[in-house]
Amino acid sequence: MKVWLNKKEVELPAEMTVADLIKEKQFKKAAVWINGKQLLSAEYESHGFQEGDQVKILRVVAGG
Amino acid sequence: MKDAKILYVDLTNRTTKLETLDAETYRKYPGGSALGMYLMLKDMDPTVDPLSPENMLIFSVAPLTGIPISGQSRMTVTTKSPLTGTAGDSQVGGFIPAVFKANGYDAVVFTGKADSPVYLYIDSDQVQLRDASGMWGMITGDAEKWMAEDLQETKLESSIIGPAGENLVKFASIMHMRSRANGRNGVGAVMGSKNLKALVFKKKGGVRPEDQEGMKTLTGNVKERMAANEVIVDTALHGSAGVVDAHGAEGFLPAYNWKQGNFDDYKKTAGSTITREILVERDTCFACAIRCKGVVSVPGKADPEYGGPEYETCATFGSYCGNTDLGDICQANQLCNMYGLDTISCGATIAWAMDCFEQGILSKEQTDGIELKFGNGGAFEALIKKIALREPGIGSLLAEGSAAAAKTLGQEAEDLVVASKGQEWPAHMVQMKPNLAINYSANPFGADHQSSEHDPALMAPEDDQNWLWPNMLASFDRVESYGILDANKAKFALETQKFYSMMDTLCLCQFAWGPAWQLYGPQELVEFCKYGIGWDTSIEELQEIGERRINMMRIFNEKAGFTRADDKLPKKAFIPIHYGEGEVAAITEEDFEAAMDAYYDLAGWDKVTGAPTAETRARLGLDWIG
Repeated sequence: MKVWLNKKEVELPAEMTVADLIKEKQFKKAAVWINGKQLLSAEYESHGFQEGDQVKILRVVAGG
Repeated sequence: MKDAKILYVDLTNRTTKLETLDAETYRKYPGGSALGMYLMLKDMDPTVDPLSPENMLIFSVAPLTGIPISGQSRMTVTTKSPLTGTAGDSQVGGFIPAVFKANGYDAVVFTGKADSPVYLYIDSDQVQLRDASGMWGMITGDAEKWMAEDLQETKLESSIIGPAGENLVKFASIMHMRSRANGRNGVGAVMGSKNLKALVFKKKGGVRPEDQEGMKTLTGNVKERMAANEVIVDTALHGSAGVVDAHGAEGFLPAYNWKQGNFDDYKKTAGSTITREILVERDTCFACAIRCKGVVSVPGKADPEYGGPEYETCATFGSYCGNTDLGDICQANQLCNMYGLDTISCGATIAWAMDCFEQGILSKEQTDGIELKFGNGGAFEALIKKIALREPGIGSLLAEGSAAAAKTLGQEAEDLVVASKGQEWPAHMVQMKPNLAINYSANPFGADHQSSEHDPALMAPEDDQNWLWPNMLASFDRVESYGILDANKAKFALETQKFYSMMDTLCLCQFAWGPAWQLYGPQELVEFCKYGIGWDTSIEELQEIGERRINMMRIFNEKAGFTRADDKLPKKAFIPIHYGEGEVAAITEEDFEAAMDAYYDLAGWDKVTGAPTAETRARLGLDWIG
């Protein structure tokens, strides 16, 4: 299916979850919004995507 | 809380004296640079020349140091900084902090200046000032070997300056284990100005917690605690260098002397690349389970004896300089560790010089014939040695740090400096983390990324510790994008600054302990104080301890001539940063000034002078300061 990920159209497998996407993109700590609503981290494992979803993922990066 | 044991060392007269600070007072200034500032404000004139015998150089630990749990083995150096001219502060990890405490001391205070090179050796109540002229001029690894021979003893932990400290380079560091640094603020130059080569302890252990069973509630499940924290998992795998991967992918890795956040080849210098290609082993500090230190080997360039580059070093000698050669970065890291130089200020100063060269402000004649273009990592070896030895020409110029060097070259050069109060910026961009615009500019000892939390935490999901833990300190509003600088961020800047200030008082590692992403959070710290030393404290008392330290530094700086005018940002802070698909993150001067007004109001400081008001001083019990 096609979704908009950070304003770029991408193709995702139908069964992909938010957790899968975070792992694929190698985000360590991520903040995720789908269609303007932010998810809880507890939802990442089970939450999937739908055609045309507007997805925003930002890295939560701290110090070093 | 017990009385603090403080060893005073008068280097001029070569005498030592043990004094005690009563427990009631120590509870208000419980170690680190809170104790350091208390002693400096009592006994020192803040207007002295930092490189004069009148400056004090204070090494201190804290009541929790040495208790076997991750992240407590840290030691602070407090002094007047020759780089910034302000109160100065720097921390180190490793094993010397725990050994310092096990030898029975809470602080060692150096005053005056020895008439020839010396080092101090401590074995419990045996204290010796010994001749160091035989190792004056040696790099740190050689000096360690020399002392072992001199003392006929190998079980030692030491803090040593290299040639850079001896030559009073303004960003000279004090090194431990050849790979740990009291890096920032030029503390190594203060040590060198006193003809003091090293502080050395006989290795010993034996610091025990008050409540062993209680401590097990914190240490017993550390493996599970680590496995459940994605950031700690990454830190244990790639060290702090993993942040190159994150910032690089997001488009906020400072590149070409802060011209942009996009660095196309960042993967060549990333933490994951280090792990895959050159990592020999992971190393750690006393009792720490995280093992964040990377030890690397690059034949001909970097030996495992000198550790490996942290995130900051990967950035300052990498993207800052437009350099993608990991071997050059590791070599630069090793040379800084050998000669005793802060890798942040050194790499950043070289990057500034490259910018000046590219723009025709510095000529090839002025750079001693070095083609100082972005990307020329091959220039690092010669430059670092010239800086460390203060060779006439480019070495001597850059040894002053970028801000002071720029003053000799004119306004064009000054416009390219990225520093606050003369200390070069660490590799976190204010466009991504706007609270750092406040923290970099207002921090009493110059730009520092480990004096507050970073505000992407305010984007974290509501059920995540990165959101929950900061809200134990105060209530914050949620954030959904980069580049926002407002009153909410001002509050975040201040409240997390207090927490970090308290951690630099209690000498805690900010990877293991903190108010957002770390292994242990604010409530666990209250428990550590209770089980560790029987101290029945609270998050409120701990925040106040942190606040008191910050205010002592502001008062010191006021006496040294600093005002709000010094809490400012370099021009490059306002460059819009392009990231992602057509996204832009930027802060404006208007937003900055408004946020600073909010910050001063919350802090209880005069909005014109930047100094703590009489009311704030009284509330914090600081009205004893004249």
